[in-house]
Amino acid sequence: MDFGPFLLLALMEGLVTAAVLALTAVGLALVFGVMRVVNVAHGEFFMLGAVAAWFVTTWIPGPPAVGFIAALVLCPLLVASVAALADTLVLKRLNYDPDATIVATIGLLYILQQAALSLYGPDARPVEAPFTLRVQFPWFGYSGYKLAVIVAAALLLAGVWLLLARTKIGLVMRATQIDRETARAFGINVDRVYAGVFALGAGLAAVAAVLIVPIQQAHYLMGHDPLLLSFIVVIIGGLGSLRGTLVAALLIGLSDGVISVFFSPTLAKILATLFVALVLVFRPQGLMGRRAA
Amino acid sequence: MLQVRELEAGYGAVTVLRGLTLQAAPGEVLCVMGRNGAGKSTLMKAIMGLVPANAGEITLDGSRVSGLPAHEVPRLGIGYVPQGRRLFGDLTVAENIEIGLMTRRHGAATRERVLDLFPRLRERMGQVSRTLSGGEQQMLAIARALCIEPKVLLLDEPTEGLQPSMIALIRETVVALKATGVATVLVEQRVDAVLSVADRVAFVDHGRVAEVVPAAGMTHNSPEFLKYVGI
Repeated sequence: MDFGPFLLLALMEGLVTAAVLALTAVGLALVFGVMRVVNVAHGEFFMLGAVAAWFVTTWIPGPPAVGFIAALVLCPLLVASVAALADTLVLKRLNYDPDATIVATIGLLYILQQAALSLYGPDARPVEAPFTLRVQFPWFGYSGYKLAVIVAAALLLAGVWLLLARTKIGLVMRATQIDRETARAFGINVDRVYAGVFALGAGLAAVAAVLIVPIQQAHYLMGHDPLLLSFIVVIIGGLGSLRGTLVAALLIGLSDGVISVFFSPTLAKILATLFVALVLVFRPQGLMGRRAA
Repeated sequence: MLQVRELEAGYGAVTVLRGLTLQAAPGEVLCVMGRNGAGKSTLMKAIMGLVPANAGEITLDGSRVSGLPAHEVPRLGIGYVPQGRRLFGDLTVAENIEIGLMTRRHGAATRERVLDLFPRLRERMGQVSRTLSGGEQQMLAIARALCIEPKVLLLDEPTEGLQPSMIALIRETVVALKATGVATVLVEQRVDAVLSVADRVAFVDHGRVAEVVPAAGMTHNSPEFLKYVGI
């Protein structure tokens, strides 16, 4: 294969990575932005989404598409409820203290991981894609499902943007992010906003996992990479800046695809981590973050 | 009628208010004066439920305000203009006003009435509120609180750092609200601002109301100013 088509293939692989990463990282960025909580358990919500997708698609009979669509709706809702419960039972009681919530979410990480190990087992299991379509390019054929993942992620991200920018729910979330005390003085139930944002963040990770699980298989330890990459993306993009998170997800996803195809996946991770170190040294507020006043 | 009885409140182990009692009637402007640290801002926050009351009681028209979750207090009709304005700085003027309107589900009619008081804000609805001038920011902070259509308005040093024309505008607004039957509690440090709008002046000292004086008989040289405020 010539260099041109080879690069195109690499970029498309990178776009799939970027799409799923963007969804996961936006969830993490929302939680940090609004609640100032560093959610170390974010990757486990991703894993929970994938594992739940396996259960749902296994239990629901009929063609794979039916089970998959059911999983796409049910799993994020299930994971979001687990997150809302964790927020109310644990984080709220810690008064959202930054240090305490880090330790608490580390605890949550192990609880969710071990629960998955107990109930789901140590095996990696595949979920069948809802459709098998091969898109034939002049130089190579490509999975139609992977292209659908890119489109679905783009639509979901547009939805999140609309929610934040155009609805009253989004306005309440942004006001709470800026000044939670003043938000309370204007009738905003901050506890409810926090539970909702934590649920939304986890739900986004879960939906990303459902989308990826026909490509990657569900496994109880699969949450590590998304967590690490999400943190990388959120730090590069600028803590609390959703636009920065999106740009960074594209950057990291695409470079991951290209470098993995031409060199090696390990080199891709090394370079991404090096990039984070450079950003932290030379531009600690991130690419689009605002410097703290 | 806003009534505060024997209120004790503070931050953690530090008690700031030690049995504070005062009341503000509809159509009245009650000025609260006192030295730094006397507890003026803490009083405002305690009324809003942002600082928990450890003892005592706050009531509005006989129903209990103290002990409610903080987000339910403004829904009873208590508008708050915090010290330093505390706008939602990254939001536009229109969005800040929208937050105010959402508090008690008021609509366009309320928004128009409030914007008629501050025509300058109407011209800047799409502007990010952080980029407004100091005076405009204060107008917006007051407008946001008025969107609640409050029975009681708490103003915490609204004239701080403003130029004279702005101070005059804020005074006019307070006088106009008084005519509509709003009870205003105004924390203020400047004697002429107090004398020009106040009906009564409550002097706060060490977390208690030391004295309440009708403003009518007061002048710049009244001994209470020197005794409780040091000016």
